[in-house]
Amino acid sequence: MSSGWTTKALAVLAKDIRTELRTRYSLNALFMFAFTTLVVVSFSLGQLSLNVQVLSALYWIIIFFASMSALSGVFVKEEDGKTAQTLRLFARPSVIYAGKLIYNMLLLTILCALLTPLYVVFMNVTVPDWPLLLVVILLGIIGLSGATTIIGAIVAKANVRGALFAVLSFPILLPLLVAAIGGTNAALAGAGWDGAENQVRLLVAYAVIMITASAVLFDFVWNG
Amino acid sequence: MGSNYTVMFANLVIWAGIFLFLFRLDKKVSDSEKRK
Amino acid sequence: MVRKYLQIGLFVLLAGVIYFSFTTPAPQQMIGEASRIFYYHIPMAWLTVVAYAVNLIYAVRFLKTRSELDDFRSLWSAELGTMFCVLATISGSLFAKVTWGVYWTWSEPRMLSIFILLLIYGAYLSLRAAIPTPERKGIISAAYSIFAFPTVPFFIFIMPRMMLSLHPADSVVDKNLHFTMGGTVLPIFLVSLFSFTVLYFWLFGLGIRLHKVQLARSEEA
Repeated sequence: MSSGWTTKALAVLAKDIRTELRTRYSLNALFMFAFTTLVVVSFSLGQLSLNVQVLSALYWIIIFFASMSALSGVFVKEEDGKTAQTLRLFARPSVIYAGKLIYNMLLLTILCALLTPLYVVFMNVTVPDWPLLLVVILLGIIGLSGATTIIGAIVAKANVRGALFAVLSFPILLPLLVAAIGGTNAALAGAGWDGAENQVRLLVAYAVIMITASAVLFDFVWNG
Repeated sequence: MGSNYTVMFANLVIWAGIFLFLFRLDKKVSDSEKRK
Repeated sequence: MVRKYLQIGLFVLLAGVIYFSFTTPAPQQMIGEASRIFYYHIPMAWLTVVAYAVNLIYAVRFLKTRSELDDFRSLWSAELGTMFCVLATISGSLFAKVTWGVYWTWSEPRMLSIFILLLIYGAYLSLRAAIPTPERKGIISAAYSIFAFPTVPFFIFIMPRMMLSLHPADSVVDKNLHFTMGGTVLPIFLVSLFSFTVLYFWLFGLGIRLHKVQLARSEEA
């Protein structure tokens, strides 16, 4: 039974990847929004030599807003494309959730892979501790996906989706932002793994809690 | 100390008003429940 | 009959709280008269959390029973909670202005916590308003209520420790987080806390009974 589960989850994921590669709507939205914000920030603040705390915060602000603009659509496109019913018949809720969750993580990973080097270049960031920084970003991505995937499902059937998605996500994402910014701060300031210990622990705990809660609640949201 | 008493009386009046409203509302609801 | 006497008793209790909160010495000497607001501000914040807990309990219950009444209980407690949250935020903000000279600061953990709760309540009510179908409304908002819950202990328990480590020299914050209650302060505070809690449950019960009556009346018609 477990191989059936994995196969189906991967099938959902593959379908989303294929659709995305065809049109690149989400990727484009994510990247263009993030890149534009980066340019604006760099342009307006570039003259000032920004301290590490500001740089850490700005990075995650960009990621946050890019996510708010682009991640709300992961289930909306199913509703709009009328493929939601088919999807419901295709597999159990947990399968759908897993597929969508990994899809969101992939989107964000690609975004960060592109954005991070650009950020370092445009904002003149020196990174003393790349491994720590990458781990923090990766954990942040997992937490972000974990929290926003189910909210995407929640707003898919509502009316004012875009704004509602941000309104619902923000309180829930705040702990993640606190931990991610703090962890990035530690990585950029060279505080090492000891300095970031609290934040990393928090990031892991956050990801676990959010994904577990989503897995339990997704069934209700998806099937009513 | 004078202004303390003013605030206190204002609060008492407000609370009395709120309470009377709730009290009468409760009575109305209780009556509706009994009639049912 | 008993109910009437209990209600009058509540009136007397809270009237007494109001009276004594202004006629006894101020709770915190360092801050002076403004500290009297603690008799009201803290119960408001406490009720915000209680209301959320009730909302959460009925959200879980609703997901199991799918009874409209459970959903309404969840909603009604959220509405009450929002009201208390607004009152708590405003009273806290006024206190901050008098004590620290600013209406708002993100460095104060308690201020942040109540703000988060305000956001969650606001999000919950916005969500309910945005869902057209009544069946989905209850389920989706119950799911969100449960999902948003882990955030709350984070901000009430974990954040203060993290923030105090960032602002170790903030003695004013420290004093306000742990102001000791001696003499006349403790009994007045406890009675206030108790009375407001009773008030919340009265309001909660009233709303439910009113809803039931309206349901019954619409069935007859």
